[in-house]
Amino acid sequence: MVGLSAGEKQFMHGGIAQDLRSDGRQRLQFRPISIQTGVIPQANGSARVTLGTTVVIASIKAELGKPAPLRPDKGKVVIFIDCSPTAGPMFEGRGGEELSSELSVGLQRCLLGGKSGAGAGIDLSSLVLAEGKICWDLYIDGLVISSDGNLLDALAAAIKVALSNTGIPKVSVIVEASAEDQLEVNVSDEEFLQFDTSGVPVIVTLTKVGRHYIADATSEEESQMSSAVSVSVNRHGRVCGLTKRGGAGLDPSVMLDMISVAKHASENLIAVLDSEIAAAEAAEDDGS
Amino acid sequence: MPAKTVVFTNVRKFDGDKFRWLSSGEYIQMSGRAGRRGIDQRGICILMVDEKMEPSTAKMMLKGTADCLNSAFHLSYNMLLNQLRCEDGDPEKLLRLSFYQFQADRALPDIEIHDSWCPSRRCIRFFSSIAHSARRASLTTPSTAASARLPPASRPALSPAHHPLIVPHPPARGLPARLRAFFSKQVKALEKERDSIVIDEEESLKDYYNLLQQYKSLKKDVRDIVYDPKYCLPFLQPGRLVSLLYSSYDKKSSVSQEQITWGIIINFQKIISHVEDKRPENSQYTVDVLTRCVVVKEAGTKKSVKIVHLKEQGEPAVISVPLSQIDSLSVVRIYIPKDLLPFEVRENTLKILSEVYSRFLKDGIPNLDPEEDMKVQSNSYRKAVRRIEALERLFEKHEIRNLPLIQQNIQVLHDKQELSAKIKSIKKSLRSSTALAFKDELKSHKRVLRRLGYITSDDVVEVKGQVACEISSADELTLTELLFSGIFKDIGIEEIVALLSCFVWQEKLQDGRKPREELDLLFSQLQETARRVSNVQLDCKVPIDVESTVNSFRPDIMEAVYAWAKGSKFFEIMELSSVFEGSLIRAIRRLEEVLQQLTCAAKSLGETEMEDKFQEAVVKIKRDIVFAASLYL
Amino acid sequence: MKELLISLNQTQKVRLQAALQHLAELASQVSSSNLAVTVADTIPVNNEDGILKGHGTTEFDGQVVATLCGIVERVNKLVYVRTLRARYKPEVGDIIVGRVIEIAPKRWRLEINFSQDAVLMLQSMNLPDGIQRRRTAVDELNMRSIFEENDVVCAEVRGFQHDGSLHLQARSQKYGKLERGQLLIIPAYLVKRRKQHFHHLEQYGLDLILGCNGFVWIGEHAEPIDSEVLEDRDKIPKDKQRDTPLEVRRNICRISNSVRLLSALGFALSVEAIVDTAEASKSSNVDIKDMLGAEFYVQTAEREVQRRASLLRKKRFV
Repeated sequence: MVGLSAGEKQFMHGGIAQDLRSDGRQRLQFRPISIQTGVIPQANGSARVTLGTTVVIASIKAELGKPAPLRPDKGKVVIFIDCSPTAGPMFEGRGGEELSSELSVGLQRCLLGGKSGAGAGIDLSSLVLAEGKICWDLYIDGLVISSDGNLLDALAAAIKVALSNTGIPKVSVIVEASAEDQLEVNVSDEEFLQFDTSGVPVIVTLTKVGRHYIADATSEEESQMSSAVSVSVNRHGRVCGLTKRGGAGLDPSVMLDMISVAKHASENLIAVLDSEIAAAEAAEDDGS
Repeated sequence: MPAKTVVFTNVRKFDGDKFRWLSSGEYIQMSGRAGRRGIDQRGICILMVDEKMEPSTAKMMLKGTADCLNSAFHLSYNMLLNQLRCEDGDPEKLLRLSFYQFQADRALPDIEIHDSWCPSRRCIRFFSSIAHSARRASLTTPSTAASARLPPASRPALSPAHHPLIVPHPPARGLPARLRAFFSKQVKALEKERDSIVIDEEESLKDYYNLLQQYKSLKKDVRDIVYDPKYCLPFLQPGRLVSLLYSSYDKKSSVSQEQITWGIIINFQKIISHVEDKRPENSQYTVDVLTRCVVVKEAGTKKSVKIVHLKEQGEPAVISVPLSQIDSLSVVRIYIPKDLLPFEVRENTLKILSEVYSRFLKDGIPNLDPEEDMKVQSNSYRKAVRRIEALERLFEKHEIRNLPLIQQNIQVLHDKQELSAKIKSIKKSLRSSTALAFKDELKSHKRVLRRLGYITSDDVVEVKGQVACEISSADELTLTELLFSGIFKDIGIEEIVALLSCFVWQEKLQDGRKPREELDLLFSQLQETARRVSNVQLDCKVPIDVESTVNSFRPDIMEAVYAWAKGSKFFEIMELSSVFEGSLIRAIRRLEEVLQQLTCAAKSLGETEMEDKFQEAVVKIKRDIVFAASLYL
Repeated sequence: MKELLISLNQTQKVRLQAALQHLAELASQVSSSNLAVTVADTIPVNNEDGILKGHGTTEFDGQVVATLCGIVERVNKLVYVRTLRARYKPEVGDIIVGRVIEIAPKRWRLEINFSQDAVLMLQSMNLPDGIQRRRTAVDELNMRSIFEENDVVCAEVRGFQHDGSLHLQARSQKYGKLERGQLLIIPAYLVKRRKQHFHHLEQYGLDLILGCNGFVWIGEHAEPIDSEVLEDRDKIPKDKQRDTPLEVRRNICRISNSVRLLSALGFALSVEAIVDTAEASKSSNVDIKDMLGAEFYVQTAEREVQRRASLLRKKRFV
């Protein structure tokens, strides 16, 4: 991260206080988002999301696997984020590991709910084929190509779009009444099940700089943050997850305020994403 | 090295030309080291005078001022390019703030005081003291401006009414701001005065005045035609009465006027003019005329003779007047005695003249008619005469003619016109005085640089310009052009060194040897390039002389430097050329400087080969006695 | 340098393609017949002798071979390769903007988007009290009071050190610390060398410094400080200094967005182009943040086509 001089910092704080950030946005405005789906053909679903100059790719691969013994009626979802060295020299070698694990954990918390799987954004029970025997394992991989702030939001959006693009092949289970674990399955190559992403939440990160919060901070603004709260909100306005980063402490009232502001901002984001997804699907339909 | 005492064993020295006294500047310099700082209370200077010395010479030497420091500022291409290279560089500002400009401003204009408008003596003294202190100031090193000029005691309040008319001659370059302000104040005062003069019926008066001026000029034309030697010489016979123009100074009204008086022609002569034009019609003639004069004794032992009117006091004398002073020739001729030396004879002749004058007082002494008597046949004469007649008729008809105070009004109008003329001239000199010293040269230099491709038309420095920026010890343009022509690429190091020696050797050797063939070839290439560059400069209006610039590159030491680079000893190369040792050493040292600069230039070009070559050349010549730091240690 | 990726819908894509096509045509009409070479291409010199091989060339097997990708330029006998898109290549007299990354004994090291860090010596910088004197040890200890780490500094290239790194100087009043504004990083080849790199945009009340190294500073206008005024300024504590007014801030954002836009389009930056773009956005009532949107992007490209076409026409008639 490049440092900022005292003068620049003061300028930035002043701008945020006056509701005019360095690229002309207001405090709660997002940068222009653009998405592309199907960027990785060999994955079941993929998407690339560009949020200003932050670019991330998410890909989803589905494999048949066995459900966990403690939760035989739920499929498995693994989220893994990687920061590519192309985003910057600081990610070279093992430099990006800390950030990657932080992002992965954050996403998991927001999308998958608690340990029991309750309250997850993704409906895990829909992944089960044969209870206790076969289920789909979803491997969600995110790759940060260009890092300019607000990675969490971008990744969550990418996952959402990728999920909407995912086609899980239809599987018919040849039922044999044996108690064997081996089951024959017929993996269809043609029919696909689309995922229902209406329940998938988006994440809105509010960065507190000085006395104000901004949404969709650039990396320079992020370097000035005192603390950041990432709230995952779904379509119905329900909070699905919460992460706080940053060293400064927050007063609980401030926290509640931030959550409500995040909810407010998420409506916009969801609307934009939905329209983009629809456009992408339409384009895909036209194309194919 | 400080010393307590300085002894001059001789007060005369040989400066290469003649044996002369020490100048005050030299004396100041040499005696200045007497007295150690902090140790001696005073320094002692002893002069041994062996011969007779005028007290004035001694005074000048001991009490004189130091040598005047005159700026030898010279606008070079290198300086201009370096200025253009950085964003802050402002060549004009540099020139404006240069010492040269300052000295030019200090050389104040010659201030002339117009006597007729200066009633107050105080004012005269005031302004003459300015002029005096200005002249003094320009001799010494310049001190701060206005305070030096105005003597603190006399600073009278100048009311507009007392404004003396100062007519400045526009100075060669630039007026300082204070003087400009002063002159513009003066212009304003004059304008106010002029506008305050109100004359009745100014318009028609102006008409009349213009007619009058025309009339006067036509008359003058006629006079010139008629009194051309071609026509009037036959009539300049001795004894002829002639009317003369002379100026008289009227003490009361402080105006000098042209008046007419009569005299008798004695003789005429041709002036031997020193002009090449020897055509007889154009030669000047003077006429010796006997008339009443007054001898005025001026300062010193000079005497001058002034013509006065016949009726006034004075003595009869023969005075030479030029043809232009003759107003008209009369028909009357009187008999003059042969010998005019005795006073009484002259007096008598003049008495006769006055008698004739009084006899013809009614109608005036009849004059020679140009057409009939003098046989002036030219067309222009006739035309002019006709126009004069027409004007005279106009005069009759003019309504103002009969106004009682016509003459005075005319005079007042005349003064007013003169005021306007003066205002105009001051304004003109003010306008021209804001010129910067080297402005034209700056423009033409920039044109040259653009033409040769050193800077773009936007004044951004190009590749060639960047190379020229590095070179300051030799002619940057020629050397850069030579560099870009690739001549240094293929020749050996010794040849490079020999070629560069032409740039650093400025003296003219009488019997310089021609260098060997290949060096001569290089030299001729150098001359070609120099000629090309000089031609471009001439095209762009830089005042240079192509031939002399080309000839300033001399090949006299090429052989010597070639041998030095090859490794010969110093006494060997001294045999090759007949120059002073010191000059040769100085040339080789300058050569090394040029080589270092060329190394930087080659580096900026990216030509590593040439860079190495130049560095090697430096190594080859930088050795032995030529570059020894001190000859003693 | 982060690239601005703008998503265009179909029509916009078509329009953009058309505009870029036009520009390519115009460029081909204007350009001289200079050869474009890549690495290891031979440069034809027709066996002339005395050819000077400049930057980007080398001698190989008796032939002149290019070591960079670019266009071959000739000045008399000098042959060199001028690169089109390359790292910043500094020259003496360039104005650059850099960030202090280290304070070393008697010098500051600045990062300037070059292969090496530039050095600004303590002697090449004016002291705060403005007096010209030798720098003492106390001055060295107080270097931090002049520039700290991460400060943005504007300076001029004075020369090269023996190891190739740059030697800077900041002695004039208008060089020095830059505050109250923002720094943008754009590709260095987009900033062409001009007569003037400092621009005081009076109508907006801000300073625009186009550093030749690709760092562009847009900030509130700072008067070059007089040394006598300096004492009063130090007395005002930093936080009480008045903040940038909103109007100026808006202008700063607009200008910086036009810079971002022009660099994303790959057009060379000049003051006129930047101000034109900002004016066009103002006149067509485009919101500041929408300047980075797709529509204005395409419009700017089309406007550039028109401008270049009219310039070409003017040149033809002159």
